[in-house]
Amino acid sequence: MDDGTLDDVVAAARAGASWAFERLYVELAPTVAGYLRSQGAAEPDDLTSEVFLAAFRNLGRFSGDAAGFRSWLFTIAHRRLTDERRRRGRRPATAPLEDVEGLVAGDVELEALASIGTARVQRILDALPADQREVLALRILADLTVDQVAAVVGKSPGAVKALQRRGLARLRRMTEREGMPS
Amino acid sequence: VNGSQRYFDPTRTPGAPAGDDQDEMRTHRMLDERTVEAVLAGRSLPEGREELHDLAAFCADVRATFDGAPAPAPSDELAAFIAAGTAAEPTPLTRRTSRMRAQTLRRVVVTKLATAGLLAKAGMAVAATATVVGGVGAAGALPTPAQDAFDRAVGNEARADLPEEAGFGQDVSTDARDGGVDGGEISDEARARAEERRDDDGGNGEVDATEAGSERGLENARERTADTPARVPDETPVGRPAEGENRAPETTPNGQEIPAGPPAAGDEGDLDAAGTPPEGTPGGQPEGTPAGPPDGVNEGEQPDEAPPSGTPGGPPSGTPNYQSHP
Repeated sequence: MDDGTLDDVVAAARAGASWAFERLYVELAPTVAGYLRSQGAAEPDDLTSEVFLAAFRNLGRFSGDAAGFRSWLFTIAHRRLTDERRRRGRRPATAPLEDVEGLVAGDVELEALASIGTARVQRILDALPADQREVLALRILADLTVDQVAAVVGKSPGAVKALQRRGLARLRRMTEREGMPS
Repeated sequence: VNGSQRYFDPTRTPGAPAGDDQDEMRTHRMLDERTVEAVLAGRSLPEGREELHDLAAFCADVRATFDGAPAPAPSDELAAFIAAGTAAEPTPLTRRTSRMRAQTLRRVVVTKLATAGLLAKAGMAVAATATVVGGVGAAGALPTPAQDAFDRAVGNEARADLPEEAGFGQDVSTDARDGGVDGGEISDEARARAEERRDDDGGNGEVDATEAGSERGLENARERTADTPARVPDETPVGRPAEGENRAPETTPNGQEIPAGPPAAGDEGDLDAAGTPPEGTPGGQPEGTPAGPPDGVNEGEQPDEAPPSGTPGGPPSGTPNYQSHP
């Protein structure tokens, strides 16, 4: 769904239309859940519901278009994730692999390859410092701009650019060292 | 013997030979912003940056791994919220603000009570009691003897027996609240009532001193007017002017009607024609809210109702496209 159409859906959701809530959830929940999973959330699905519930309940405070709503949604997700990490009181752990494996269906060989690829992606991401991983996930998965990411994580755009550059440089070294799976 | 050997100190760690950082960052060209954006967004790499192929492929893997799944099943609370489709709740900020206002008011009252003198406290207590008793008495909720005393004191008896004239004002008031005021009807009725009043007075031009509608006041006024025509009646009418009564036209001593104000719009037709919004004007739809779901997505469906069924790209009716948990 393009942003123009999503603008209308956001406006309808602000007016309280049930179909708009559902459409927003169907459109954006996979990305939010993926972001939370990539950051090692313990219960990414539950946290996704919490994020959307908070967003829908506070839509009265939101004003803006679809891009703004997306950025706002990930701000809530970032804060919920921070709260969850604080509750757990330890370094972010990776999501259980079976959660990700469940996403792939079909041929057994393909499933095996996919799970290997997933595990590799997860392992490389986990090797990044948390702030670099966070910035890269928001840029790659949430498709946010540097300024939007800066607003989400509460840093300056310059700091976000530095983090993404360092993160990419580190990823580059790791991927070159490991080589890409064929 | 060169310089480095001359100053070599065997007790210190020898320096590494130059160029031993070949495997580190110096071998990589810096990532400019355009390249970074291309890598992150999964676009084709700029010319001459083919060495970033692995990095770009990894970013694509990240996207495929974490962003390719269907929406997870919502929690019960979220599902109920989505199904209800209620408007956004009042913001926590609003609730907090109202709570803060209540706390501030309470603090001010407590502070004033604490700093007031004994006499002021007694005065406040009397005022508070009078307010409470007055409110309850006006509502007719006092015990019978107390209510009788209250009614005598404030003249509720007269108010309870409002004369017929008061009914006219109340009708007008009710019509105005209902949005169904008919100016023509009011005008005709007022004119008829004025004529009736002139007939009752015998056309002698006596001014009705009891617009409030108290028969007692009317009789007193008539008596005193007859005794001392130039004197203002001593007894003020007890009854309060009924709501809307002052709309009735006054009459001159010779019985001519004096219009109470500008001509009512109803004299020429319905008030709606004079700019009053007609009853049932739609006002519930917020400004800017689309009249329906986006084009091509939910055509023909009402936005505030159930999600469209069978529309392309949308979930089937009543079955959201959530990932189901085992």
